[in-house]
Amino acid sequence: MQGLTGDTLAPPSTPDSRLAEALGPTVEAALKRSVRREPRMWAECLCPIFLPAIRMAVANALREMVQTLNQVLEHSLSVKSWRWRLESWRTGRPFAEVVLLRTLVYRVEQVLLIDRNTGLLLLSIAGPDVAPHDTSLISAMLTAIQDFIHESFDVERSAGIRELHVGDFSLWIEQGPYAAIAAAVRGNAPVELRETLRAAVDLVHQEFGAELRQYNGDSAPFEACRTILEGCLQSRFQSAEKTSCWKAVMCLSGVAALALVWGGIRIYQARQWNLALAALRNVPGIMITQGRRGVGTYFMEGLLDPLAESPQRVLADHRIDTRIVSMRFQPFLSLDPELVLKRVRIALQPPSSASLAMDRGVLTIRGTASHEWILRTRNAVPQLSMAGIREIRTSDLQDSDLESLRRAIEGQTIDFSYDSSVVGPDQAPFASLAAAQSAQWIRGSVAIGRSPTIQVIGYTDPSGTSLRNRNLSQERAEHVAAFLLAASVPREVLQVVGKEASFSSVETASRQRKVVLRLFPGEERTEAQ
Amino acid sequence: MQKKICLLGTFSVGKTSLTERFVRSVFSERYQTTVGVRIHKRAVAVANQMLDLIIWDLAGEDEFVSLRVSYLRGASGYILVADGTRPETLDNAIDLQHRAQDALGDVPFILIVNKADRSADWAIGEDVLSELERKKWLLYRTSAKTGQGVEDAFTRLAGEVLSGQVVQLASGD
Repeated sequence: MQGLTGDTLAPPSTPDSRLAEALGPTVEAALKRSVRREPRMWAECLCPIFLPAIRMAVANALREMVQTLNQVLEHSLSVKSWRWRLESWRTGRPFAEVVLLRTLVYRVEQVLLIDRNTGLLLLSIAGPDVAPHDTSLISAMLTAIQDFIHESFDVERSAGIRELHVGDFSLWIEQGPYAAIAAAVRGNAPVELRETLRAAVDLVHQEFGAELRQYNGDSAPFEACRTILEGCLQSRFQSAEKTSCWKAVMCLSGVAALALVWGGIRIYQARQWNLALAALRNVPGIMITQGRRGVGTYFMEGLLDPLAESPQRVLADHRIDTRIVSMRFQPFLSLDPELVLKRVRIALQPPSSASLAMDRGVLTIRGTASHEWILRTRNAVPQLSMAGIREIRTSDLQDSDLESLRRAIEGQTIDFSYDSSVVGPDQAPFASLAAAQSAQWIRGSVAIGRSPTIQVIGYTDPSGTSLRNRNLSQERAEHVAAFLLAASVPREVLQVVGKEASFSSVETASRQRKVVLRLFPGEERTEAQ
Repeated sequence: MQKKICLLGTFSVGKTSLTERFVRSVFSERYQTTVGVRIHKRAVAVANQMLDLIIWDLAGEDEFVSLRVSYLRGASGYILVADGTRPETLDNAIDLQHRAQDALGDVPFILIVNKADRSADWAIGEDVLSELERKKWLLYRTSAKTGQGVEDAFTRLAGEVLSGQVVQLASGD
C-alpha cells in the first residue's frame, strides 16, 4: 500500500485519468472485501443515502396513485363525467383520455428531434397515455410541409415554421442550425414553452453538435438527448374548483343554522304549548282531555264551563297564536267552588253589603242584606242545589229591615204612674204599637230562620220597699206582655222580667217607672235543605 | 439506421401502386396532390442490419406539375419509375435523374420499369434498357400488380445506400 501510494499519488504531474486507472482495481477490490466482511456497517453507511431516495420514490408512486384515484373519483359521479362518458362512448375514445382532454389547459404530447437536412427523426418521446404514432413518418412529412411552404411562398429556408395550429392542436417548432425540435401541443400553451423549446434546441446543439453535423442516418447517439426532450413534456390541467368546497360548507352551514333555528323554535313552541296546557288544566271550569301539536298547528279538546275563563286568553298569555289552534270543547257545569260562587252571584244578585263564601257545598253569607233578599235567597236553595249548593248559612247575615224595626221597638218605653202597674190610657197606644211591631219582628225573624226572643222588662223608681218594687215591676211587665200576646206574639218567645229599682243620676223617677222591650234575633235554626 | 429515399417518375407510371404494395403509410394520397409528396416507410434487412427507408413519394411530373427539388434534399438515394408501355416516361425518368443528380450529387439510385406484367403492350425497346444498364444504371423490370421485382429493387437500393456505393454514371457515350 505504501508503495502504491508512493508510486501513483506522489507525482503531482500525474494526469487524473492515469491516477484513476491506477487506483480503480485496488479500490474496487478493497470495497468488495470490506462489504463482504462488514455488510452491516456498509448498510448503515448507505442507509442515509438510499432511504431518502427510496422514500421519495415510494412517496411519488403513492402521490401519483392518490392523484389518479382523486381524478377518477372527482370525475366519476358528476353530471360532467356522464357527459364525458357519453362522448367516450360516441367517439370510441377511452374515458380516461376524454377526461384528460376536457380537463386539459395544455399538454405537450410529443416532442420530436428532427434532422433539418434529411427530415429524418433523431429521437421522439411521448407523454403518458399518448397514442403512439410513427413519428419517423411525421418527422418527414413535417419537413416536407416546411419545404412545400418555403418553395410555394418563396420563403427563406433559414426562416423555419414556428407554429402550426389546427383546432386546439398546435405544433411548436424551434429550429436550430442542424436540428429542430417539434412539440405537439394540445390546448393553449403559455409562451414560456417557447423558451423551454429554445433552451432544449440550444442544449442539443451544444452537447451533440458533432453528431448532428456528421449525421448519416444513425439516430442511436441521440438517445442521450432523451432527458433534454423530457424537459419539454410539460402540461397543465384545470385545478379543481376550490370554491365548490367553501360553497358546500356555506350551504351546509346555512342548512345547519336553519335547522338549529327551526329546532330552537320548535322546542320553544313545544315548551310554550306544554305550559299553556298545564295552565289551562289549572283553570276552573276547563278540562283538557286531549292536546297535541303538529307542524304549525295545534289541537285541543275537552270540556268547558260557560263561566270559565276564556281558553284563548290563557293561550295568548303564553304567546301562542290562537288563530292556528283548533279547539273543540263540550259545555259542562263545573262544581269548582269559584265557578259555583260565580253562578250563585249571577243567580242571587247579592247586595254589595253581603259577602258570599263556598265551602264543600255550603254557601255562607255574611254582612247585611234586606229582609226581602234574605227571604228570596232562602227560598232559592232548591234551585241552587243544581249548582252544587246543598246548604245556605246566614247566621252572620244581618237583616237590615228587622234590625231597624228592632231598634225602633227597643227605643220605645211604656211609662207608668207612681205605684201603678196599669198601662194608662195615654200609654196604651204606645203599648199597642210596640206589640204590633214586635209581632211583625217575630214573624220576620222566624221567616228568615231565626229563633227570636223578646224580653219584657219592668222597672220602678227607687222609692218604696224592695219587695213592693219587685212585685210592681213584674206586674208592669206582665201588663205590657199582655199587649204583645194580644198582638199574636207567641208566649214562648216572651220573657217577662221585673227589675228592682236602682238609683240613677241621669233619669228622673218618673222616667224610671217604665217597661222596655229587648229583642233577640237568636241563632239560626238548622234545617235540612 | 434510417435513410431518406425519393421516388421519382412521371404521372401514372405506377409509383403509388408500387408503394402501396410494399410500404407502410399513414398519410392519405391527398397529400400527394396538395403538398406534392407522400411519405412511406419501409424496413428492409440488409447485411444483417435493419434499415428503415423513409420513402418520399414525389408527385408525378407532367405539364402541370413540376418536381419540387427541395424535396430531394438530404436523400441518400432515389428510385426512378417508368412505365414500360409508355416510352416517354423513360425519357422523363432520365431527365429526372439528371436533375436529381444536380441536387444530390452522386447518390445511389435505381430505375424501375414498371408494368412488366403487360409484356404485350411493352413499348420500350430492350436496346434502350441495355444501353442504360451499360451505363451502370441499376435497372429493374417490375410489376406492381404481381409484385414481381419490387422487393428486390428496394432491397438492392437499400444495400447500395448502406454500403455507400455510388453508381458511376456514364457521361453519355
